[in-house]
Amino acid sequence: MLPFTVSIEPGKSPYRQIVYAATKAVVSGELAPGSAFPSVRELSQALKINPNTAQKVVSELVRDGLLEVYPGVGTVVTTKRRASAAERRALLSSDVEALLVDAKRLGLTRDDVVSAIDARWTDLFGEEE
Amino acid sequence: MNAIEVSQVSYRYGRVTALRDVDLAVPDGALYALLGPNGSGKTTLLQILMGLRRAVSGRATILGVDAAHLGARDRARVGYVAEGQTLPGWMRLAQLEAYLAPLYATWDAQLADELRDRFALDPARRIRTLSRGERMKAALLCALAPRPRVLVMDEPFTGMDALVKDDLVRGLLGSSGAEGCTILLCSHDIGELELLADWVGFLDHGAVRLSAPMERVREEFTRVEVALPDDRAIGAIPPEWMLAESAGRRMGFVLRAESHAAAERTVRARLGETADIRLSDVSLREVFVALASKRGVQQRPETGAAA
Repeated sequence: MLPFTVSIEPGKSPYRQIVYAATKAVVSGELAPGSAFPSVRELSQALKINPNTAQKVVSELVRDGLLEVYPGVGTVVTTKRRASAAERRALLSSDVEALLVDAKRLGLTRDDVVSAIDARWTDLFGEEE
Repeated sequence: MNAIEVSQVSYRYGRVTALRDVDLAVPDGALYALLGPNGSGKTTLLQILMGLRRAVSGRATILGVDAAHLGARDRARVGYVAEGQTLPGWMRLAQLEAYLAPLYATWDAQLADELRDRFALDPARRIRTLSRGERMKAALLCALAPRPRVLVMDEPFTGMDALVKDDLVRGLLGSSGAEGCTILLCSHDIGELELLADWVGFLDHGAVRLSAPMERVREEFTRVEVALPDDRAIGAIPPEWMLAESAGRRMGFVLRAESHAAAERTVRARLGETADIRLSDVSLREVFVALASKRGVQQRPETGAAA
């Protein structure tokens, strides 16, 4: 069991999928600042991936400033910065692009898309902004 | 440093060529998946590596020692689990361990205990009463307990149910990497190996079509989908466009290049800067199908790190 949501789709680079899932979890707060991040061994065993892949994932997340390594303690989610709104938006960018491309293909307008989003937001979350 | 090196190895069964100038290298510490259809020569290659068969030409070495001349001390450093491993059915697992332990200076009884617990194997049970999966786990235990430098397994997952496969995968992950054990697994089924292996090789009809780090294979093979500008056909489909299929205005194919970006560049060069091009990753299964479809064409495999 891992403290963040990830499922590896076959055919696509597992490394990229896990980095993305972990990044999303840190930025969204699912992985709380200061909380322990799984070790390379734990990641490898939980996801049944090669330890080198797990190591690459951790290195990338450390390089991106999402994780900090404390010798003797382990790897921890960073407490140093809160992801900016821009960073959080950036995580959604490929989903947004997919949505817009599909909308265009269906012959929908910008207004159609915005209305659709508004309506769905209300359905799911009520009137909160 | 390569734990295993195979250089221009060929083997014939009568008039049938089972292995054809096979070049392959497994770097130290790698988890190498050698994949290929049934009858492609994987078992023959492993038998040559273990000194059970002698290559007709070429040379194979394991831990630097010629496979044809492996001595007792060399064999003690290599764990081997053959396909359909036949363990002595009448022995209890504890007896089998007691029988094997003195043959290895490095037999680690504590590791054997840990593995037995992890695999939930009862040492008092006779091996013939174990299920297929339990027998495979027992075989893996016996192969890992001496802490080998190299572990070779032929079709370890074949016929195993999902729970057993999980146990085997976790057992293998526990031994590789940090422990420094080099692992070579052969299988006709990609399955869990796609995520597990850091090196992959593809043996097809006795020839190596691919041998490279997994990440490099992922980077080199791209699935490309293009929307052709109009119904006019593109003309001759370039031979590098593997498994090319078209429907209406769309054409899809697999392309091998330095990188996904390089693949896009070559397609754009042919179709124009504004072409509608979509790229996506290729699963390992598709890579093999693509390579097998080019069977007649000469393939040059990349071999492992030189010593």
